Amino acid sequence: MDSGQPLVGILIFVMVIMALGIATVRTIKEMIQFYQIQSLILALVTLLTQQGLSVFVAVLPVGLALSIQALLARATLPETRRAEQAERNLWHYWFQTLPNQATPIWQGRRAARSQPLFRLLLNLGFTAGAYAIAFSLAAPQSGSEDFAIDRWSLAASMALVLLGLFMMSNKQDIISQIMGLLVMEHGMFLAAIKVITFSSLAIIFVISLFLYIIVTLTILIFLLPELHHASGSIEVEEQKQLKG
Amino acid sequence: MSLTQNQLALIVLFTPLLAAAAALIFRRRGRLVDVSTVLFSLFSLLASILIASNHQPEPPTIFTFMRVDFYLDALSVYFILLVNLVAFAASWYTAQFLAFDAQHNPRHDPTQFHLFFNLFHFTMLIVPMVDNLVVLWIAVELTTLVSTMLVRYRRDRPALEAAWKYIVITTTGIIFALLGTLFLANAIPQYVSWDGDPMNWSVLTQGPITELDQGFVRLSFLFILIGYGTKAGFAPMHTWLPDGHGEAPSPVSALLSGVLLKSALYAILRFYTITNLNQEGDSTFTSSILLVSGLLSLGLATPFILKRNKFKRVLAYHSLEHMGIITFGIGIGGEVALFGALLHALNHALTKALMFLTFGHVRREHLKRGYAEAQITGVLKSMPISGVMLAFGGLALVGSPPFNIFMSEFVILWAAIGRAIEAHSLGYILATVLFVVTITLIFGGLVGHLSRLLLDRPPFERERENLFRLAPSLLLLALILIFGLTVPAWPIDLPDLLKQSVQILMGGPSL
Repeated sequence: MDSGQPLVGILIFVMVIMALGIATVRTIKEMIQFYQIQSLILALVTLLTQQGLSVFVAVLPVGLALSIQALLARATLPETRRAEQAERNLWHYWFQTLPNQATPIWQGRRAARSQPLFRLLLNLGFTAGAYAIAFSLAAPQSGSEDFAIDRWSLAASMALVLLGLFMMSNKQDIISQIMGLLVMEHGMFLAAIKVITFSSLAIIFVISLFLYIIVTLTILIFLLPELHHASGSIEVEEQKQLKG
Repeated sequence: MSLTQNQLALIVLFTPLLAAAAALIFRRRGRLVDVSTVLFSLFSLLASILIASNHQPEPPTIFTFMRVDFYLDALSVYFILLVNLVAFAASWYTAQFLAFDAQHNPRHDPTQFHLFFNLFHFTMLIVPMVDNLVVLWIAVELTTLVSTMLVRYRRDRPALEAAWKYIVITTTGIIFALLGTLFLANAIPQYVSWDGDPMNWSVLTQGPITELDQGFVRLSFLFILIGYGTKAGFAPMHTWLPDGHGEAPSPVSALLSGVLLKSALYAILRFYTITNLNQEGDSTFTSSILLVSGLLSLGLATPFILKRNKFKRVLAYHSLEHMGIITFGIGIGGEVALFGALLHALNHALTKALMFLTFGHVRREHLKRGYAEAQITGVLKSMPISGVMLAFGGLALVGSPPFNIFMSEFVILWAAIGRAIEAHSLGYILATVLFVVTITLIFGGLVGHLSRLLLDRPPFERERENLFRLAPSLLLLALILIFGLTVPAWPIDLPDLLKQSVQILMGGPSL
């Protein structure tokens, strides 16, 4: 491993396997579970990698791992707002009641259009492509070691971005599409903490990730529930009124 | 006491933020908020005119405020002017839109509209002012966040679907821009000492830029083009554009089409210069991909403009066409084409703002009387002033003389023909032919839409129109006519500002 940290390298590799899992599994419930594991691994990688800011930065993936079920459940179940207002114990409602109510819907749905084996092969192809591109890009430069970057992490980041992109185009419902966006975000996060050669620049890239997470939360908290409420469906096909 | 450029820049930037604060503070006094949005936009515009008229080519204004590095050169000043001209015109129409909305939208929320409208204006002003390329990305992403709230404003099914597509597609695209920025950061060699933060455009372009890893810089530009290109509405990442423009309230559509696309273009232009300087002035790489991208946008826009569609969607596809024309001009390269492309950016912003704002006004007047959008016909008879503005704006949009877009399209075509002759290249000849064919077809397409809209039998009798309510559209029309005859040198020396901007694009800062 370029990083010289075998454990971090293994964890990053596991993150890619989790992304393959998210892209391949049949149900939304399984996707969410894989995503939560991936988020926690990312937090661990952050803690093992970053100096100084590590705890502060690691809060982001941990926070998303913990809240993602509730956020997606809120988007999956119509008319949650009224129930929310009536609820006294919001913590229990968000983290117990909502996921429990959404789970039958998540387990009863096929998340993607294509067959799992076909998806797995295609995603393996994307992953191999990402590794090939990253290794050709980050080949050692003649004369100087200064250009050398952590090519394993670069490859993993690019693989996560590509897999996320594929998920967004392949999934049948808006919940699974958002999972694709979240996987892409993990790819960017990994790049910001592991690939940047200038340590001073890493901070500003991490700040940009904060903003990206705010955008994701805007989608999860505002747009997804409203869109579901307005269209009465989480199917992607049902969100195609605007044409031409 | 005269204000320095730094102080003026801060006034330009923070005035819309004050307007956003006013929207929150005076939320129970709707009329006051309406007026404050217009007045603060006007202040920001006046301050930007002062900046432009005081602007000296050397040295560029560089200053730090709240730990953010700001940088103003001719190119930034030009884009600030563009943002503020359209924002002022759009702000004038917010009160009219909200008055209509109060009667037709059960979720009417003027405070939210004013808040996000002014925040959108503020974020679009940050883009051309910041020096750091990562902060530039943050600013562009902020525009997405805020403008999504405006696209979703009506909160009916089409608006939510449009907002959903808009945020998902642009946010996905913008990841590529962040990756591109990251690749650029990785291309910077650590053994070189930089006179400041190397991710600042001013530091990077004045330092030993040829020392950067050329492979990474090229890859960075490719990702930047995909990322910011998604936001700029380049084909094939443009799919959010007709939905977003079509479903947003008209003042917001004017901002999206007139300004937001140009903000993303501005980001691409900064990376264009970096990439060309890194390749030791050889622009073959950037030119070829920009040419292909421009022609693809033009080609994809054509069938959608030719088919029958909602007028706001037709206008949105015109944005795709015009972004294609601008990209084509940048791809042709050289002083003349870049001059034409930059001028076209301003011309398109003015014309598209006129069209969206005027059509929005016409649409509201029809809806008030119980007529659906599909029944809007014969506007020249029923609303003659608006009809004339739509006719002139439409003719300008298709590049008819004596309007502004004719001028900039002609300059770009002139440069393309010159390049084709100079290079003796079949590729350039074919590209130029394709350019001419598509803009000719599009000319026919829009004239068809306009004739239905303007000339058929109107659903109601002639309406007496209030000139005061249409004042900014009349101002835009006057500018369109003036820019069709000349590039004015008063009150701002625009030809000089454009020439300086071209020099910056070609060679970086002149220090």
